Amino acid sequence: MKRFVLKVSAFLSLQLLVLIALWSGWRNESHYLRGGILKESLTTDTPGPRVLFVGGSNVAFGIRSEFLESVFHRPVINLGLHAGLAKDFILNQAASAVKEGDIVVVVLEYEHYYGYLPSLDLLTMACIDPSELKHYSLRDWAYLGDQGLCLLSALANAGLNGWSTGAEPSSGTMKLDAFNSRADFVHDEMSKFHSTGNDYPPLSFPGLGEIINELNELNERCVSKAATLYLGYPPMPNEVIARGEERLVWLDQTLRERLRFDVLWHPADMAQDDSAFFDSRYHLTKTGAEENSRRVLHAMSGKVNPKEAEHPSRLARGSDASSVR
Amino acid sequence: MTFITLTFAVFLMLVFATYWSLPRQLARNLLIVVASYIFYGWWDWRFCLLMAGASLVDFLLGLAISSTTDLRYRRLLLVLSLSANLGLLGFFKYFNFFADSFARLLNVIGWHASWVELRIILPVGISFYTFQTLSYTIDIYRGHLKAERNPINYLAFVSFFPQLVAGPIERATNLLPQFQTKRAFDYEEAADGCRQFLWGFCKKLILADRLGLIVDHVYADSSAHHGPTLIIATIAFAFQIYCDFSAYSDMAIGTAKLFGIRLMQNFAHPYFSRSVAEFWRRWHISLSTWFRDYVYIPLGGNRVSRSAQATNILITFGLSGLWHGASWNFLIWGLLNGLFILPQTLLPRLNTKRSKEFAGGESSFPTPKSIASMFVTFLLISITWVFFRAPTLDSSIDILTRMVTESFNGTYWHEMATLYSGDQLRLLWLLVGFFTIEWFTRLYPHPFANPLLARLWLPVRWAAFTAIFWTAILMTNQERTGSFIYFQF
Repeated sequence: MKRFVLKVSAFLSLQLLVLIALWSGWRNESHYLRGGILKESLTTDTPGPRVLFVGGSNVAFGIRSEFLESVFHRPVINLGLHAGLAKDFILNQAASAVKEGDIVVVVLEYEHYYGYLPSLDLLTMACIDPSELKHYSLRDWAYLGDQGLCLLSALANAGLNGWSTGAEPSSGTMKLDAFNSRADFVHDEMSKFHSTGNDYPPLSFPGLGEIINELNELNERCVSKAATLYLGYPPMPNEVIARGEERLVWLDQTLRERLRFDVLWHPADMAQDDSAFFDSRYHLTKTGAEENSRRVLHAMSGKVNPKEAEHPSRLARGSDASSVR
Repeated sequence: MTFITLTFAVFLMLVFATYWSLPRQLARNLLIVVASYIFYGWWDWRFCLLMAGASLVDFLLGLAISSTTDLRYRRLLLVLSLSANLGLLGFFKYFNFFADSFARLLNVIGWHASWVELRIILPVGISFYTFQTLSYTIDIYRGHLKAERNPINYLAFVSFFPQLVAGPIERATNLLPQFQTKRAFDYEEAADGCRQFLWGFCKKLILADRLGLIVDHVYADSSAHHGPTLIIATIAFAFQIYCDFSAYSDMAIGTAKLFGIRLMQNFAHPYFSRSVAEFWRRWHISLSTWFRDYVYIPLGGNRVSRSAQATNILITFGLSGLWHGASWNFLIWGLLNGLFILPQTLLPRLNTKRSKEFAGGESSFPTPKSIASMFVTFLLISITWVFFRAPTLDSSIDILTRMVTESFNGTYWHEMATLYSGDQLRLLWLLVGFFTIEWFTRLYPHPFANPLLARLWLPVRWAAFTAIFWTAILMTNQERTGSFIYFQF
């Protein structure tokens, strides 16, 4: 038995060495998910009270932190990164980021109300920044184990590619350098999005009960830290919103009834033309993001800085956003 | 949980370490039961309740059958066991099929029945463990086996995780005694288990999953492709299903060896068979022999007239088809296979030697006659695979028709050639390499069991294993990894 265990251990160690050798060839210096490190450091280093925007890439692309900060007069942190990291990660990250007096605005993609939908990027994130593992739930770990071989394959291939070309795989506009210092995703050169007849919000929301419980738990966490939690909805093209209007209205009503905190705006409030989006229905262009931020500001009027409610004229001024990058 | 996951790697290491550190056999069996239920519950914990219920029924019925000598009472208990197992299988697997078929029949005679189709989730592996427990009660009834009195030993036999969800379908007479006796760790056996697992792992990732890409692309919309492309996709499926299913069996058998358990061989180089009858002695052996022993022989086997024997063969293969799934396609697949073996079974002069038969013959290289026989057998089997893979009966017939009618058109062959590029050519060479290895190692249960390999200097052997392992990892198809074709049955 001892001989067997020793030989198996030695063989597995050899495989681990091969993996490390391959892994070390992987170039990911400008990987989009590295934005998570920037966001993590902003939450740690920025003293409270702050305004945190939480969600997937709709938040990363749709919020202009500096613009909002200039109105709120308190730090704004854009925690949105990627919906594929799944709701457990997103909500756990928010829960651990909250400091006393913070205002937290959760803007989840509609797919999160459908259910737990992780992607391989959950595994990529762990490889890029292992410290993010602290935000992983048990089922994230189970997913990691069940799909880990795919990641191993992706890593080995990326590593081999790195060793042979010395370059990072191309990822189009989805790069770290598109994040500004406030961790907002800003990019000028974007292809335009065209919604098709097949673009719908999810047809049903079987995971709604579960996420309502999770959001209420997050609210308790916020309350215990004298922070305030709000919910919002992501931006979407007008046509897509119209196609799913009935379901989205039902979703909004159900959430308003069952959540123990306020919902700031309705799904239709964030609808914009196709031209405001680029590669997907959640990713806003620069101008789309500025418009979205103005609408967020409008919906949050009086929630952050009560004095703001007395000066609604500021909301109409788009010039605050134009200087933001 | 499936074999091709990191979760399983961690699970296996934990169970292995705990298993051999336990001093008592009963404790080890208990660990096997707990581990197996965790393994199974990883899909859906509700499946565990179903398996536990089915196991309990047969455990109690087995005890009851063995406790009486009254033949009528024993028969009644056996009928109860058959009803419970087949009822369970029928409900989960066939309810919608029969309800739908009955409704269609009524429609034909003018009655419009509106059926409520139940949304029934098919529990993974139900066909496998149901047949295993069935063989247990039948063997007790026949007096081939004594009822197990220890529920832990019995549950370990039913739920043993390496073979639980996709076989081999073990007989109680082979597996149960192994849980009743104390097992000692055998280094050679465990090392061979690791090698067999590695062979299966690589076969699945390098060949099966990549062949699956070609097959899925064409069969997802078969009407968009012409005859030559359909032929290539069908041949690819023939290899895919072999590499996929035999890989699972290799990994199951290899894993079992780590626990000192020997499972039966499930595949014996079936594509080197020189007749369809021989193919069925080499393909999914645990299921073929199950149907032979519990259906074909009780029906009369070959002890009856030729016509009755032919009927028995067709019934057996028809049921074997239906075991795979509730559809006309599977039924026709089974019946076609039955039809193809009829000439050989009924005409003794065509019957090949059964004992000591080597796959493809005893010579190092196949003779022209062997090659021709293997080719014809492969051709016939490939025709049946169309029914197995196509989603409906109509599409199966359409595919076969176009494979024949469109194959004389050079344009379609040219079109097919443009569809496939370097990746598919590399895959072709890998397949050639794979079958060459299989041919020259066909005397062994798996190629890594070749003693020549054991004689290699350790660093060379490990370098070879490492190279093949990382080739498999690098070639992993990220969309397919983890799923096996036979999980759906």
